Amino acid sequence: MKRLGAVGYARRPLWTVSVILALILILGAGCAPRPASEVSLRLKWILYAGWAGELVALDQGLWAEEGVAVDIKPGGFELDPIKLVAAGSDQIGVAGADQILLAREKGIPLVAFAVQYQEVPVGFVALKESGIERPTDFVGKRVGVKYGTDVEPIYRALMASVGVSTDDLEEVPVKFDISPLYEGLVDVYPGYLTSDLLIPGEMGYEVNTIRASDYGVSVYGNVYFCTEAFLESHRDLIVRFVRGTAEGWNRALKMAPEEVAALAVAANDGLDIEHETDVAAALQPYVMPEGFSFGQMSEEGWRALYSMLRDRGIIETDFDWTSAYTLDVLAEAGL
Amino acid sequence: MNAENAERFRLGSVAQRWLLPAVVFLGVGALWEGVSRSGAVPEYLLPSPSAVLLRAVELRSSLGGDLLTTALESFLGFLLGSGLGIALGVWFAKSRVAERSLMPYAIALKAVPIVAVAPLLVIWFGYGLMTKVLVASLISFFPCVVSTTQGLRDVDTRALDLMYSVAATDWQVFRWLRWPGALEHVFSALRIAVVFSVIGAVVAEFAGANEGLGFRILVASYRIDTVTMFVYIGLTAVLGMVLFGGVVLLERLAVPWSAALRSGAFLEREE
Amino acid sequence: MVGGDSSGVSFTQLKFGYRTDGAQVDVLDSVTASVPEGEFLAFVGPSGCGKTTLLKLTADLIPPREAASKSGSVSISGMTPSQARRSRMLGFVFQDAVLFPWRSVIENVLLPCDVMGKGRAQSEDKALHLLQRAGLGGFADANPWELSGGMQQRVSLVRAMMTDPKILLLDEPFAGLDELLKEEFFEAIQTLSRESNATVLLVTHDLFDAVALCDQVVVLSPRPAHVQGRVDVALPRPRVFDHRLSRDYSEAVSAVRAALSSGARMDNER
Repeated sequence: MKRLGAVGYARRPLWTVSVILALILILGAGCAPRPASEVSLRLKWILYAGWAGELVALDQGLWAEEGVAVDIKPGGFELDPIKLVAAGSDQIGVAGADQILLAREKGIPLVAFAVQYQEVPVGFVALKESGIERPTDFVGKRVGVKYGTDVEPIYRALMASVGVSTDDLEEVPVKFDISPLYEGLVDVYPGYLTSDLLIPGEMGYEVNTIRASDYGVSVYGNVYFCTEAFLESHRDLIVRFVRGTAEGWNRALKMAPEEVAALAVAANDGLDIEHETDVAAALQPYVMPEGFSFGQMSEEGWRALYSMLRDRGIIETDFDWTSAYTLDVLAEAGL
Repeated sequence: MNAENAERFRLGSVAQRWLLPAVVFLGVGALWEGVSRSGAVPEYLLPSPSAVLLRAVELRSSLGGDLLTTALESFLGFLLGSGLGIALGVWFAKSRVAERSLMPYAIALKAVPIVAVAPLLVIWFGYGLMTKVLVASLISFFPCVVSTTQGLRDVDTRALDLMYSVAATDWQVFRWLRWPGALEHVFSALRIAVVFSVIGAVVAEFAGANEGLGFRILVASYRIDTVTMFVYIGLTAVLGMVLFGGVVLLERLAVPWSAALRSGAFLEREE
Repeated sequence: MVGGDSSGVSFTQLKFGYRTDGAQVDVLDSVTASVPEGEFLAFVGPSGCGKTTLLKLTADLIPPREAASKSGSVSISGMTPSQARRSRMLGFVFQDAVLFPWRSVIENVLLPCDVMGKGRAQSEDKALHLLQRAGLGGFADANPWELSGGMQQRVSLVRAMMTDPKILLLDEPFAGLDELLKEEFFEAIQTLSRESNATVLLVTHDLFDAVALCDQVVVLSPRPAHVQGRVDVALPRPRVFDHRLSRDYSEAVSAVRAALSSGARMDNER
């Protein structure tokens, strides 16, 4: 077999052109339009145990039972479900409810049809020796703030609801990295109680945890959404998707965390099984608290989120936020 | 048209230098505005220039502070990076041993994407000014090393013979021949480095900041507020251009002969 | 001609060659010549025959590592080229003026003084004086690129004279100069060298200029160069253009031409 490098392939124009054409054809084939019952689902973050419902649905063929083929695509730092679904690269996305409202404010025609996390699992963690146990203890301390994320407005709403002025503490910019906490750069670190905030405990640090909803700040977390156009043209598909997803979550929350963690690690081998087990064990109060069924949405819930964002100035203009979601899909799915 | 009239219509080169880009700017701006207004592209993807300008006016009270912050980070980073780069370049030109042992690492440092390095530096050095300066200097130092080394080495051998023929010492050769001769190269690197330093400052702000142009872009991005993003992106571009212009001006003062050399006047032997 | 005179410059069976890519290249093959103090000698020969190498060897401008083989000697007022260069006895005028664009004309002229540590104050007068004599009086503060090629060459000559060199070496100094400029240059070089009674060695492919300017013309063969002929030029000094119309001139030119075209090896020992 002739080796590529052996012949100066620049001198074999016909061969080079053939290879390039072949590549174009192959790539083009990959871009062929999807068959009607296939959807790509773009998640907000990388594959991990926090997507327990999706992992179970895929693993147990729950979507297949509904006649839907779901191609799960993980998100990440530069992969934004909002932009990808709006642009048409993906059909269904999972993103923060706050992001849906922000998108609608800018006129992006996205609509949420089911809630994934009833309560966004935002919390704060401090080392036990700091003595910080509640939000009022933040006064005079260095508080990490994740500017430009969904955690920031919740932090501000929390401070407002307990009557602490941010002038009375020192805000320190932090990113998705918990080391400032134990490097002593911050006294309080904000994050997800189902994700990064579990890490200090796993590392053996003794920590105090503060849950935002304990102090009255509780809003929707991730939601499922698609474009208005797609909902109109593929309504039935969406309904079947929701049914499969609901079953996935119902089963996932009844499973042992170790099993969910195993699914996660099987899907993404960069994960640590111990951490994923902790994640899986932490999910239920946020995804489906007592009294809630999967996906449940209400006008009150969306209003609460809208108000919080509007009060914080994150949303700058009044707009019709009721257009950001629809309750019909859940109704049709029998949920 | 006779020669006299032709002269009258020919613009001076200074006017040309300003007029032509201005025409392009206005032309593209008008086209862009037209496209936006026609609704062909949604505003959240490409806002119209008028919307961007309006938003800039709305933000005018805070713009200055953020601009100054990023400008300071870029400028200090540029000073540090170019200073180090030139010093290293001088050393490399002098010592091939130093060059051979250290250049691969300089190249490696340059090859690592700054977006990956910046968060690391933030972890090590915190969220203050120093980290931004460091990132900006990291990104701007490499072109200076290479150009300085090359400029110092790239000396006319006849000029070297001349210096040798009057028994000049190595230091004298450096001071009167190599260094002045290298200035052109150094400045071409500085022009690149100063623009890179703005990129470095903005990337560092992405990695951890609570003020500055990069920070504002990040926050606006979360809010899908493309109009505001464009305001700050535009300001970043302006900052880059201003700093670039500063270097060009400095070059004109420090290296007045380079314009003459570039126009080939020096090489013409017309009588 | 008396060989072995301690003043002036003499070459004694100078051989030179170097190695490149494993091959030995012989450049000079036993060159013997001499020029008394204060006189002008021209080396003439076809392009590439090694004239420039000969000049550079005289000026100690060929780094030792490049030399594969060197034998014979060059004596400059009894010193080796290396000693002469270090005592700053030499002035070298290159084929191109090589003026530094970051220095004005007078600053370029003062370059050797800067190198030698002579204060500018004391040397400035001399520099201006020499520029004057070379016909460049008004251009002291001009930028090098503002001067024509011929003027730049003259600046280069003045620069070489600043150290009061006993020996002036010129490498194809007339290349790129038209007839009028050449006359100016002839005048300048004669004026300036007379001031310090310098010995002048020049290398040129133009035999007419060589005869017009010099007291002695040594004809070199193609590489490896040996002396193919030697012609004395008995014209009075200072040389002017009209000398080119005289009979002595034409005879000398013919002699040089004959030597150039012949392959005969003439007797070197005198």
